[in-house]
Amino acid sequence: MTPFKTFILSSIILTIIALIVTYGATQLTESIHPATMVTPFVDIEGANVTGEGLIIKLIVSNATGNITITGGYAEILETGQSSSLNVTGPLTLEAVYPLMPQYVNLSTIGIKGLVSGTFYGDPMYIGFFLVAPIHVSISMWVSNVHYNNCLLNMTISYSTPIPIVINSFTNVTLIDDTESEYVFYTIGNISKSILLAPGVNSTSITMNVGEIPNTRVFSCSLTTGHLYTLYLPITVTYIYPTTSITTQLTLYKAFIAGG
Amino acid sequence: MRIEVIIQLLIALSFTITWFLAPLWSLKSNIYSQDLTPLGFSITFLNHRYFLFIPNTITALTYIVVSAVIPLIWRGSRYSLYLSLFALSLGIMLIITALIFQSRYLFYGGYSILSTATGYMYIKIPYKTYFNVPLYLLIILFIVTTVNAVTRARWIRMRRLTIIEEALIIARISNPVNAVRKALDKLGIQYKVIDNSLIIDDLAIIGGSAEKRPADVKEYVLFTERNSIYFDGSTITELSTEQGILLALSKSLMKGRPGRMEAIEYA
Repeated sequence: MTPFKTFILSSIILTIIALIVTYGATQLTESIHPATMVTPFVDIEGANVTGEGLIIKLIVSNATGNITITGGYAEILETGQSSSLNVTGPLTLEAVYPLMPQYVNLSTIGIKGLVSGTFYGDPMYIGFFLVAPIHVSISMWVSNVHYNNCLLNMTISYSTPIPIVINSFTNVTLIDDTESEYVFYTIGNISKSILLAPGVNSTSITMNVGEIPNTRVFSCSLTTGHLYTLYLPITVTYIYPTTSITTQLTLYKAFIAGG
Repeated sequence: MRIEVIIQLLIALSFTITWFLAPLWSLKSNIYSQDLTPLGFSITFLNHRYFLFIPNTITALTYIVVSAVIPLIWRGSRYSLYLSLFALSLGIMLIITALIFQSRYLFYGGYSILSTATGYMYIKIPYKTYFNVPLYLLIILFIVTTVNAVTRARWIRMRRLTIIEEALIIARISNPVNAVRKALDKLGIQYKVIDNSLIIDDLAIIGGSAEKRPADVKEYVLFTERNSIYFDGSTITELSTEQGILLALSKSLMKGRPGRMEAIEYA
């Protein structure tokens, strides 16, 4: 066999082996599987209504590996409010939203947003959409009434996350239900300007009925054991951070004198 | 054995050793890496190690070693060097198919979008790819093999000793008759050996130990321990050992018959 023939034959053998090997390699792709990892997600830890506003607390759950949280933002869908998230712990974030009138009617809110951070030193973003229950209630009630020497002393209790101003009382009426007769009634508005700070608290209001104009006073004291009812229509202004809403409320209190 | 072929083998062996120590190609990111080793891809994901065996790389390595060994075994023809270059080219092609395999089946985009319980997660994982020392050795090996094939392994211009210089050196190391005999072998001149003497036609080259002068010899060169004696049939001339060797060679050239030449490598 000449060297040239040896060369050609060896070349063909080497080429065929290389072809078989290359084809064989493609058969190994069945052993390739996509890698899986535990994915962290953003969950809600709390949505609380306080005097400061609506505080949303978020937590990154299921966090494995080297994750650091650097910030992000969250938007309340119902109000369109958007706020950046403040990092409060290794995996917790917080956002504060000023209270708005819409919140009073809502039982749940939708929160969507993005948490940014690093995953093993590389940029990472976790998008989320969460639904959180909230309860924003503003309530006012008359908790106590004293009437003596034509002095009406009443305690108005309230629970509110926002400041409220009592503007005026209208047609205040105290009725002796036992005898079915007026103790006094006023006609028209009595202007007041009483600021109720946010929180759960009460305030005392004293009025000298005898000195109020357009007032009919039938009695300057209460009879012990009789049932009385105080009607107190008031005009109040809810002071939201962005707007103020003025509305009318009627408070009333039924009580037994001296009881 | 040509030094050029030895150089080729040494580079091929250092390539083999280096590839077992360092990957030829690697992809690195903070959470994921791929290394091309002689047995396949070594993959690390979030500290989990996985090895994907592929036959391309080990075959490529075999081809590269075979390519360097072929010129050592088959020295008779230049086609040995051509086959060596062809085997090396196939080995390089197999490494390239391994890299194509990587981009086809182990594609890694540098980012990931994953669904989570409440949304999605986007991770950006930039990566870099590197070629390592084995690749550079492979390039050098390819250049050397190509030059070997083109020059028939004769690219190192090293001055070799002339036959006379070599004979004089051998004479100093062993003895003058041996030196003349080696030189005659190289020149391809036939001779007879009788009692440590070389007989070429009617010329005898006699060592100092051989006291008896062979019969039917007209002239002879006799090497004693210190010098040499030339007898041309009628007169005796005293010469130095070096002069004796030169004279013996020139007389042999005139009287000798051509014999078998030493084989030329990669002819």
